Amino acid sequence: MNEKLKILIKSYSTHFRQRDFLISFFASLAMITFALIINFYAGTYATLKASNSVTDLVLNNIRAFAVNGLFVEGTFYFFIFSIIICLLYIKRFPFIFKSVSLFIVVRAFFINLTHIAPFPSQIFISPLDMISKFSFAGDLFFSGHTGIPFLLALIFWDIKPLRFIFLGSSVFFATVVLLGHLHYSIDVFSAFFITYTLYHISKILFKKDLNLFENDIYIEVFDK
Amino acid sequence: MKNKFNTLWSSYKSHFGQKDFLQSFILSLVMICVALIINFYAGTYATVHASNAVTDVVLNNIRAFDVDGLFVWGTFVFWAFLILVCLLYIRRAPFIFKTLSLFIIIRSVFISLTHIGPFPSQIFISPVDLISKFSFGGDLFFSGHTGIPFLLMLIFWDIKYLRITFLLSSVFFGTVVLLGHLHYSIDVLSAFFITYTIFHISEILFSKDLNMYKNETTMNVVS
Repeated sequence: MNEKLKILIKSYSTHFRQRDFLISFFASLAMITFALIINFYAGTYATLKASNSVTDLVLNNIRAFAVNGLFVEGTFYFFIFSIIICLLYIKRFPFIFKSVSLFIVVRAFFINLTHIAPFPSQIFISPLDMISKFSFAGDLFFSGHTGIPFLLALIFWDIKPLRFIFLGSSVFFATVVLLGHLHYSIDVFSAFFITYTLYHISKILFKKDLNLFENDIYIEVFDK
Repeated sequence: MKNKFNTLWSSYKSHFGQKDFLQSFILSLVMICVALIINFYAGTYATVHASNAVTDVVLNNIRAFDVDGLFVWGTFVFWAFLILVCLLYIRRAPFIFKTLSLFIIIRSVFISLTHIGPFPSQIFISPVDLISKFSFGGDLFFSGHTGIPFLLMLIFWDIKYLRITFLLSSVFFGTVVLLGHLHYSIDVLSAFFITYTIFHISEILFSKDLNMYKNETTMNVVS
């Protein structure tokens, strides 16, 4: 444990002494902040503009389950876990945050195109819950809860345990949002397809950050 | 011209003389037939089960234009052009048809999932038109007219003039379906993203057919 901690400290001191990495790191933090602000306004607008609900092959054939706990707390734990992983794999941090920012911004654009209303039996998520600042009733297409874990699975594809954890999380949240009637089925299924393309766009746009960890220049706590 | 024709003829003899290629070609034709049958039933189901229309940032802000001619004839011309290209680039034909089949099947699943009703001012496409056997009022998400040309652009990425032709076709049809209120804007925009992923799935599933033309072991009329 002591040794791992020493490697981690060394990794941090190495990375944060590199000017390029430092700039990229702060740029990624700025980007995610900006993305979340856009997401807030986009989600609020989409909810305001929501028009009619529609029928759905899955939602019309299963009842709504009380998955509020799984949805809210599951998101919280997933978020915490992701932050820990980002801190352990610090050299991937800029790429991760920039990719997630791109995801959020593209999604913010999508949710404002076509204004489908929530399914009538959508479960109630309290506006007091922290999640209500990031996830809104009317921001449906496409599912961020399905997409973001899948994006992380793609980013960590080379690290098998993380690949499976993130894939499992993606499937978990996909199931939860369908059971809670929080999303339509096209929101969930298209999330996988759209996220995959976004990942590839990220690989082009943020090539420099991708090279940071693909070329193994820096020390990392856990090897591949 | 005679030279090109001779090359084409040799190419056909060479390809169809190969057992692997012949099997793959016939299989690809079977697959596209199956896919079109699935598409027919899925499209019919989606149209029967279509529920409410919804508002849209593009459709609610532009009027419906009379683009049925462009839509119907444009599709016909596109398919004719596509068949011609497949005949000229015969070694790509198995991969193209199998990829198209995959696209059509995946789209058939999508159109059956969530039943958004057509936009109220959607232009009328006569049920007598041949296109009505492949494209229905309620099969909205995602736009095949946008996606298929884009898919072909990806397949022919290495041939610049075809890349640009198919890209422009994709943009053309994306615009036409929006102007005619035939699709919602998420149908069109998401088509690009979903199609890209379908192409990558195809590259894995049909890697043998992909290698057939990427390794340039067989002759082709146009490089």
